[in-house]
Amino acid sequence: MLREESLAYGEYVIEGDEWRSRVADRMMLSIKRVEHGKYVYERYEGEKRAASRFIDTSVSNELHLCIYPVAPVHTPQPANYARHLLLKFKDPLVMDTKSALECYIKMPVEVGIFEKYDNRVTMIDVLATKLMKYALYGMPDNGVVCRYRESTVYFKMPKAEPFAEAVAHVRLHNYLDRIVTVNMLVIPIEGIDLYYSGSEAMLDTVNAVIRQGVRNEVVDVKVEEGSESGWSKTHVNPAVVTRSYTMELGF
Amino acid sequence: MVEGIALGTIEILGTRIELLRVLISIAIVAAGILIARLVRIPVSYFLTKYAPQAAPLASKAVFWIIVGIAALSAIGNLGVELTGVLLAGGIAGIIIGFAVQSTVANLFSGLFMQIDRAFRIGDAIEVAEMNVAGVVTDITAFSVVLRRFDGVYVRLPNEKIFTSQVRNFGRNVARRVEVTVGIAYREDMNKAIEVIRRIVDEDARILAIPEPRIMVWDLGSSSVNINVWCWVPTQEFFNVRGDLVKRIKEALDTNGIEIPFQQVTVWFGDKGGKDGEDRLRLPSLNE
Repeated sequence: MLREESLAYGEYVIEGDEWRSRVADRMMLSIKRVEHGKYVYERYEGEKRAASRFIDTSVSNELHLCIYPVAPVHTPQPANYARHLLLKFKDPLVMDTKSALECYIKMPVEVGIFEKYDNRVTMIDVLATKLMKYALYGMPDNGVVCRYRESTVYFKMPKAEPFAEAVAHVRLHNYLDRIVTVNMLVIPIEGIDLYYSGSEAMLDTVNAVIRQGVRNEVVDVKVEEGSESGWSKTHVNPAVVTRSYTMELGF
Repeated sequence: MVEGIALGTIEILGTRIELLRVLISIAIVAAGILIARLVRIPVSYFLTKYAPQAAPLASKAVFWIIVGIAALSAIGNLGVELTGVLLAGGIAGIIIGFAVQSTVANLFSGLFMQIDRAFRIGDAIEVAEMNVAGVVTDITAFSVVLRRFDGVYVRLPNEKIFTSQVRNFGRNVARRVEVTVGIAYREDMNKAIEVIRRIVDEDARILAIPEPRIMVWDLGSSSVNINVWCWVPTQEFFNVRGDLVKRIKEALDTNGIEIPFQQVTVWFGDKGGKDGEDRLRLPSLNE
């Protein structure tokens, strides 16, 4: 029996012999049971089969699939070169001396497909519904490669594009004795669990403090751990991750 | 051999030595061992941090040098004449020094290389003077082991590497891919640049910052040369370069933009005809 579901983030128990779901206009996820406890997972981009996995669930006998927003550092696979997200503001923020402001920005996300067993999840596939670029923050010898996105600054929570974007709440503090212009933020993103509701995603609050460093002016960026009411949190990263980064190479 | 003990003295090999001196000598040796152990801890810590491969050997050497100095001091304290021993030791040292000159040079070069940290295990390097390139698989006290890109095992003495120019391909997080594309003179340069830019923009691995540069760089003998410079994560350098060249060629073909062959025009003008009439133009392969 074929079940085609309209997709949202969350957990699915695969019943029946075939399950299909569309992620974006041109992307389709498909799971077929080949025999008892054995499944074939496939991802199609248009007509092309972009990924496939054989999943053996003979111990648990049922397939629990989790579809979660994940940090945008996995694609194009096997990408393994970014741990940060560089968000460049389309319109730079000019901040008064000793001031603070709160805003929202949109950030890109990838969609992680996980198999869940015994309350633990294992990533079986990851996809990006939109083209995302990388960027270099700093110089090749001292900088970091980051996932890159240009974002408008919003002062009310914007609506994020399903399966492509998440919203980040940003608190900026200028501790300097001068007016500053902030053009970008570098956010440590690898291994951070996001929040989801339906097909929308959200990041924890990002706290950015502009201050005088030892040699130059720096921005301390920290992703505050908290809980967003009305949103579910993904639990895909058991390891403790670094949630702060100091931007010493300009902002 | 101990032959007899008088009050406060001890006789060793026919030499009468005060017991107090013996005790002081034992204390010197014990203090030397203690100091050597204490010194070895920070030395080992420092070397493990900055020269992990050389740490065990070097910390042992430091330990035994200090113990050796303490032992010589203790023997001197007993009143034993050391001049002959030192002279013999000095001569032996010179002979051994000549014999193990290259070994010692390799050892110290290895130590300095570790402090210099020009490369680490896993880095892809090229040693220009030795015309060798590959991935570093081991760094020992005396040599560096490379796995050449064709899979061959190469062992290089530390001394040679230390005095050579070393290019480390994996040290920086990003590298620039450079591709030169030649288009025929009759083609529209702006259209070609637009086609190439689309290819560059569609590749997620090509960094948005620093911005890729696509520019007409040279008016060549057969083609207008367009340079494509784009930065990529170091791990992706070879993949992106290969893909980029292939996709640019395909896109130029799809858009009907010609990549010309080398063209040569040969002139015959001096004898056997009037200038300008007898010149022979060889057609290009495209014509």
